[in-house]
This record gives sequence, C-alpha cells and structure tokens, in this order.
Amino acid sequence: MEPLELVRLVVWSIVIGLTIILLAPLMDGIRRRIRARIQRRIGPPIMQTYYDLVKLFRIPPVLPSKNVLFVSIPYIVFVLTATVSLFIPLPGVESLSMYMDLLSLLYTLLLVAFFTIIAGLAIPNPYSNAGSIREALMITFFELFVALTITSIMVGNGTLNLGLLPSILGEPLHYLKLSTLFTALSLLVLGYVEGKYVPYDVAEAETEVLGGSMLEYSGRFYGLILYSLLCKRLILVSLFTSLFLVSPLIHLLSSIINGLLLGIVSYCLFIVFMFVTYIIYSVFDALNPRYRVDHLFKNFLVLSLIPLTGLILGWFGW
Amino acid sequence: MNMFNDPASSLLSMAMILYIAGVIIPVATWKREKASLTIGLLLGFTASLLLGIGSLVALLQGIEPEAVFIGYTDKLSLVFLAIIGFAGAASCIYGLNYMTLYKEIGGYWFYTVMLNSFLSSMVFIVTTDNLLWFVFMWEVMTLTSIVLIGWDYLDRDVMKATKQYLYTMLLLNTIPLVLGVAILYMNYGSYYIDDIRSTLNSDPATLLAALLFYTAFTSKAGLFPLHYWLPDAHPAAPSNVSSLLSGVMIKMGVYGLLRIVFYTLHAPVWLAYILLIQAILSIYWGSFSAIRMNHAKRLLAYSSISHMGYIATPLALGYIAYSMGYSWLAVVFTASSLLYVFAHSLFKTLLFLVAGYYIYASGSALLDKITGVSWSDRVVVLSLVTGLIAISGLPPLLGFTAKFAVFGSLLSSNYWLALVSAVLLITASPLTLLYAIKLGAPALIVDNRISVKGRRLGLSGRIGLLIPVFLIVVFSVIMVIDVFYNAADTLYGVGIHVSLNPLIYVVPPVIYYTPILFIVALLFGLLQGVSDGAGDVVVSRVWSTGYLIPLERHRILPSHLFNELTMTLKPLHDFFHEVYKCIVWNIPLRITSSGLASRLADFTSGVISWIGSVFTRIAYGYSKWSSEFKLDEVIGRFFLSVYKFARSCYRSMVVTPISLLVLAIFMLSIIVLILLLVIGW
Repeated sequence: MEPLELVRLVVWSIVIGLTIILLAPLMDGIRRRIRARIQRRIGPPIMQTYYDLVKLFRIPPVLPSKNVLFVSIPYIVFVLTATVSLFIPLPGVESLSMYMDLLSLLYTLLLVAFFTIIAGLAIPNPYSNAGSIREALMITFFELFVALTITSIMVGNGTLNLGLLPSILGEPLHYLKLSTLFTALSLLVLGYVEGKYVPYDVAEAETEVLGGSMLEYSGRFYGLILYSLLCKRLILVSLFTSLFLVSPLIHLLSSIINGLLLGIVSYCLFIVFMFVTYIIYSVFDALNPRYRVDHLFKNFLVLSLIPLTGLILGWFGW
Repeated sequence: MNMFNDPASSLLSMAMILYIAGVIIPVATWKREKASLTIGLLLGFTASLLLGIGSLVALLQGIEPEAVFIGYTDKLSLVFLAIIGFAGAASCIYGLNYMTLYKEIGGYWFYTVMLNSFLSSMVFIVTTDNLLWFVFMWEVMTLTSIVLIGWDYLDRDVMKATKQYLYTMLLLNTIPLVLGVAILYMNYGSYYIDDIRSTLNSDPATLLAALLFYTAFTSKAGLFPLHYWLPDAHPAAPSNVSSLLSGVMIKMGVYGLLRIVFYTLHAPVWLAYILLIQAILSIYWGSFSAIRMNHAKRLLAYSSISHMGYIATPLALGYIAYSMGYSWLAVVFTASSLLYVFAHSLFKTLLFLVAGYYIYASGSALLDKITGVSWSDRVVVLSLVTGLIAISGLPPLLGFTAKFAVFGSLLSSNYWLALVSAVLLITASPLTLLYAIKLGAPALIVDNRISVKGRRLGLSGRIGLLIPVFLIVVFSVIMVIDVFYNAADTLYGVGIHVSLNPLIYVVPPVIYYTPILFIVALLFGLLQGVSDGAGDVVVSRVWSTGYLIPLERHRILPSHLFNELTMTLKPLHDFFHEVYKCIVWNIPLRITSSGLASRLADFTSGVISWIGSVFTRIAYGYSKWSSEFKLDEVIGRFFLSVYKFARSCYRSMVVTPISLLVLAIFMLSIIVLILLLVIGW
C-alpha cells in the first residue's frame, strides 16, 4: 500500500473516531432531554453531560485504594473504546475498518466489559460485586443472540469485514431481501442491549441508588468510565447506521458523485441518521421499566428468534 | 554439534541428549536431595527450552530437521514438539521453586527422573513412526504421570485420584492400544505408520483398530463421556506437573487422533460426527462445571475439558470436510484446531502455575482463602491478568487469536453443520469469561485489610511464570498462522505453502483481525494509569450506604459468585417442564382417539416425554446446586445395581434354567449384533 493511501485511511478513521468521541456526550444530553419530556419534566440542558464530565474531571477523586490495577482500569477502558471507534465503517470511504471485522469488534467491547467486571470485583464492596456479577451474567445470557446475529450477517452477506459489509449491503438486490430486514433489526437490538439502555441496565441499575461495578470510582476515574460507556453506545449506534441506513443511499448516490464529495455526503448522512437512531433508542429508553437479572434470560431467548429468523432466511437466500 | 547443517537439528539433538542426561544424572546424586532437584530440573529446563526454540526455528524455516533419537519430524510433529518444549521449560524452572513445598516427601532425584522421562516420552510419542514404540512410549508417559500425580502420597484424596487415573488408563488406554496394535500387525504385518497407510484396506479389523485407538485417544484428551478422571487427577498432582498434564499430556490425545485415527487408518466419517458431538458436549459440560468449582485447580481442570472441546470441534469438522472432498477446508479447520492447541497449551500452563502460586503463597487453592494473594508479587499479577485475558478468549491476546481462528473458519465455510457448531461455540464462549473471573478476581482484591499476605516467589518461580507470558504476548503480536496451515497441510496434502502477513489475521477471504493496535492501546492505557499515580486521590473506606458496618466483611465470596445462574436457569427448567406437559397431555388427545393411531401417538408421546423428563432432570439437577455431577458414578451405579441384582438372584436361588437361557440369548444377540454391524461396514 502506498503511504499516501495509508494516510488517507488513517485520516478518515480519525475523523470518524473523533466524531463519535466528541458527539457522545451531546447524544446523551439529547437522551436525557427526551426522557425528561416524556416524564413531563423540563430536563437538563442538552450540553449537560459535557458539564458533568468537566466537573468529574476537575474534582479530586475519593477511592478505596491507590492500587495500580484499580487506577489503570478506567484509562484502559477508555483508550480501548476510543480505539474501537476508529474502526467504524463509513460507506463510500475507505478507512481502517477494512482491517477489522464485526466479530473482533464485539469481542473488543467484551474486553472493556471484562475490565469493568474485574474492577468491580477487586473491591470488597458487596454492592459493586453484585453489579459486576450482573454484568457478567448479562453478557453470558446475551451471547446466544450475538452468536446468531453474527452468523446471520455472515450467511446473508458472505463476510464480516467492516470494510466490505457497507458495499455489499448497499446493493439494492441485497438490501431488499427479507433476511436483511431481520439482520438489521437484530443489530439494532444488539446495539440497544449492549449499550445498556434501560431495561438492560441491570449492571448499573440506574433506577437503584447504587451504580453497579464502577460504584467505588469517583472523580476523573468515574468520568473516564462514564465517557467510555457513552462512546460505546454511540459506536453501536453508528455501526447500525452506517451498515444499514447510509450504505443503500450511498450506493444510489455513487453513480452521480464520487471521490471526496461522496465521502462528505456520506459523513453528513451518517451524522443525521445517527441522531435519528439515537433518538429512537432514547424514546425506548424512557418508556421501559427495569428488569431483574433472571428476567433477562427469558427475554433474550425470545429476542433470539429475530436473528434466528434472519439466519434461516439468509440460508435459503431470501 | 556440527553434525548437522541447520541450527534446528543441532538444537533438537542437544535437547534429546540433555533429556537423557536429565533421566540419568539425578540418579547419581540421589543422596543429595537439593542437588539432585536442581540438576535434574535445570537439565529438563535447558532441554525443553532448546526443544521449543529448535522446533520453532524449524517451523519458521519450513524444514524437517534430523536429530538423534528422533524419528520423523514433519510440521505436525514440530508443532507438538514446540508445545512440549515451551510448557516443559516453564514447568521445570517453576518446579525448582515450587517443589520446596514437598520437602517432607523427599525423593527429589526420583521426581526429576520421572519428570524428565515424562517429557522425553512425549517427545518420542510425537516423533516416532513405529506403532510399537508409540504404544510403549505412551505407556511410559502414562506410568510416569501416575507417579507424578500421586507424588503427595500421604494425602488420601491424592491417592484416590491416582488410583482412579490408574484404573481408567489401564482400561481405556493400555488395553485398547495394545489390542489395536496387535490387530494392525496381524492384518498388515508391519508396525510402521507409513507401511500401514500405504497398504490400507477397509476390512472390519481396521475399523475395529480405529475404534480402539479412538477410545484411547479421546479418553486421554478428556473428551466428554471419558473425561471423568481429569478433574480429580489434575488437582492431585503438584502444580507444575498439572500444568504439564493439562498443557501437554492431554494434547497427545489430539495428536493420536490426527496422526493415527484420521491420517493413518482413515477412520470412517461417522467417527468424526461422534467426535463433534463429544466435543460440543465437552464444551458445555466443562464450562458449566468449571463455574461451579471453588478450587482453583479443579476449576482449571474442568476448563481444560471445555477447551478440548474447542480443539476437537474443528478437528472433527476438518475430517468431515476432507471426506466430502473439500481438502482446503479441511486444512483451514485443522489449522485453527492446531493453533488452539498451541494457545491453550501456553495459557493453561501459565494459569496452572499461577494456581500453584496460590498454594505456595496461601497454603490453599480454595478460592475463598486466597483474598488478594497475588499482590504479594507484581509478576504474579501480570501473569494472572495475561492468563485471564487469554483464557477468556478476549482480544488482543493469543487466546482470542485461537478462538477467532476457530470461529472464523467455521463461519466462513458455508457448511450448515459448521455454522450450527459456530453458533454453539460462540454461545458458550462467555461461560469461559465467567469462570476466568471467578478464578482471578479473588486473588486480585486490592484491600490491604483483608488480604492474605503470601510468601514471595523466588527467581526461578518468576522465570517460570514469565516464560509463558512472554510467549503469549509475542505470539499475540506476531501471529504465525501460516505455520499451522502448513502443519495441517501435511495431513490433508493440499500441497499449498501458505505465507501470511503475521500482523493481520485473515481467514480467506472473509475475516480480518489486527491485534497490534489494540495491544498498543492496552499498553498505553496501562502506562497512563501507572503514570497517573493517583497523587491527589483521597483514600477512604468502601462506601457502605451510610451503615457503620465494615462492608469488607460482607463482600461476596468466590464460592457465592454466579449463584444467580441457578435462579436464572430456572426458566430453562420450567420451559422443559412446559414442553413435557404439553407433549404428554395435549398432543395424544388432539390427534385421534381410535385404534392404531392413538397407540402410535401414545408411543410417540411416551418417547418424547421420556426425553423431556431426562432434560428436565438435568436442568433440575443443575439448578439444585449440586457441587459436582460425576458421570462415571452415575454410569457405574447402573452396573453396580445390575451386579447387586444378579448377586441377590444367585443367593436367593431365583436363578432358574429359563432365566439363564434368556440371559444367554440376550448376550449372544448383542454379540451377533456387534458382529453384524462390523461385517456390514
């Protein structure tokens, strides 16, 4: 590969990654506003999450220990999440996502979860331990869904590579298949569940007083973990957006325009659809009750029918 | 050593000579306990390290080295030689520190002789081309491992486990292997693998030999129904020996399956389907049992069973693909299996050594008693975290590369059985995360007030831990996948020499994985955390929601971790119960109420309800929080009850000529049935 081309790849990746990292608190502000409006409250200003983060980074932290591992975990978690955001594909543009696939992306997010679980269990506080256990169990129960989703995408499209998927999914013949609908729906659900929105926030338990596995963190350490959760939410949203919403439009537009202009149009569409998807998520988030961890198992079994249908339809080529 | 032109051959020859020296020299120094331990283990360490490096060099150069005492060394053998070398090196040098725990037992010279014989017997197993030597060395391996497992012979549990292992191996390894070799020699008049392979015919005797070998190898590999010796034997042994048992010895079963059952004897393909079922059952059985365990080494032993399932699944599918004519696919599957063998060997060796540290530092491998023990030594923390990430199959370490290779090859095959296996395997993979957390979290607790202050490891112990850590990190960055492709190619003979970019892993043409950036990210995060130093942090006690009780006393103990699984599996139990009720009560009523149809419906519903009740019992038994479910005892109970029944019949003279006749006819019909099956094939 020529160095200039590599630079172009890296620049596009950084643009996408920075967009996700910088917009994540704004999206959360919108989510909080929507939640407040549904509950007939005025709600905080849209920029509130930025203010929260700034404040968290300024105040001196109170921790139960100065242990190296305990202090490093927030940094590791944030840096890993930020690195994952570099690999989000943008249709019509070549970026670093061609060196990544869906399986490794989801497993890297699992690594992030692994570190937060270890952080929660490394502190002798029964509340944070309980949060960690809930998180681990939720991951375990949800894995059937993830496995079926990955397999259905693989069967339907013949690849999991994030660089190739948008162009394959963008073709109208492919896009109008029934199996693609189910695959898209399952990726949407996957983003919702892995993003830990309300019925699936059993680990943090936002509706309880206590805050899950990151209970004992405060100050900038808590800020980093919170920020990485927001980034993770936006990563999952943008994955769905660019694979299933932007790619067909870009496929249509690519006959008219190309080059940098196509990239810019794709980027604008990407941001618009990201907002739309996030707003849909936020509405669902505000309307839902909270689950216990044993409710999840039954729920996930039922949800798994969506990717299973997609898988079966994809196998027969419908 | 200028006998050979290439460095790999010289290294391997030196390794072999040192192994032989390691068997002989400690005998000479038997009066000096400490000296014999040091000399024997250092010889074993040097030999293993040379073996590992030599075979790795040969693999990377793509040559087949010649060496003294060694038979044939194709790439498949070299992969296994590398495993023996690296795991052996770590385990030997660790033993120098760890074996001081066994001072009262003494006999160090005998220990080192046994350990070196154990290692060298495995080297011979993977390199010999003669089945008689193969079986002889297999028996040497089994007998030395029996001595090593029962090393702590004063402990009654250890002796019980050793006896169980002895009888199992006698019944399931020695007898089938000897019979199998005898049958092959009668048929082909040769002990040589190449002779048998070139004149192979498909008569029933060959099939019988293949079945006997299959039984021996799957029982050694610890696959599902024959795994029962493993969770008892591994914890009984000294930790550095258990790391060898789990890291290397059970892989010999995989080697035997590949080399003899599939490659030499061309076993019928239904055997591969059975292997696939066994493998998937092993994964779930091993993982669920491992989550239940409260003993670190027992947990790791069950996890070995589950990982052998991950290894055997692509192995079986590879042979199925080969028999269907897709040789390239067979190579891809088998390569992923071999990569998993390599990865599992490294991280399981590491974690068994860490579990040994638990015993060394706190005197117990019970997870409840090792609170924060790893903080006595930073090297242990590093190796523990590396091992945990690797065993749970998370990027960017080698465990994920292996898991990814398996998942990727299964997903990209476009074959329905492989896809179903992939779904089952991916679904099972977070169970690994659960028991990894259970294994590591108690040792990583950061509170000084409740931590157990352990003994620090000596230099040799630390080197023993750092060798696998170093190898895991190196092979995570530089993924030498092509080595495994070429090794699998020696079996299925596609004849393509693969060379891949070691930094990007591609399962052609589908799946991509670039770990280097994530390793950099991980290191960057870690460095940022270390340099943060937490200078301005106010240290306070954990938050107790306003109560004055010291919460650290109420922390959740490892033995209570994931008890929710019981609660959450209740819906599964209910589900099966519903299905059972529905099938038993509704369907027969609905179908019809007359004659043959209703009888048929009754029969069908009877069968289905029986299956449903079996599932219900399994789910119910699981949710009833039994600590361990021992399959051999359950099966043994049946035979015991038959025996008791026969004995009571005999005593009360209920035995009449007619009942004896019925029994004889029954036995005869079974024998005839087996014969018919054999001849029919």
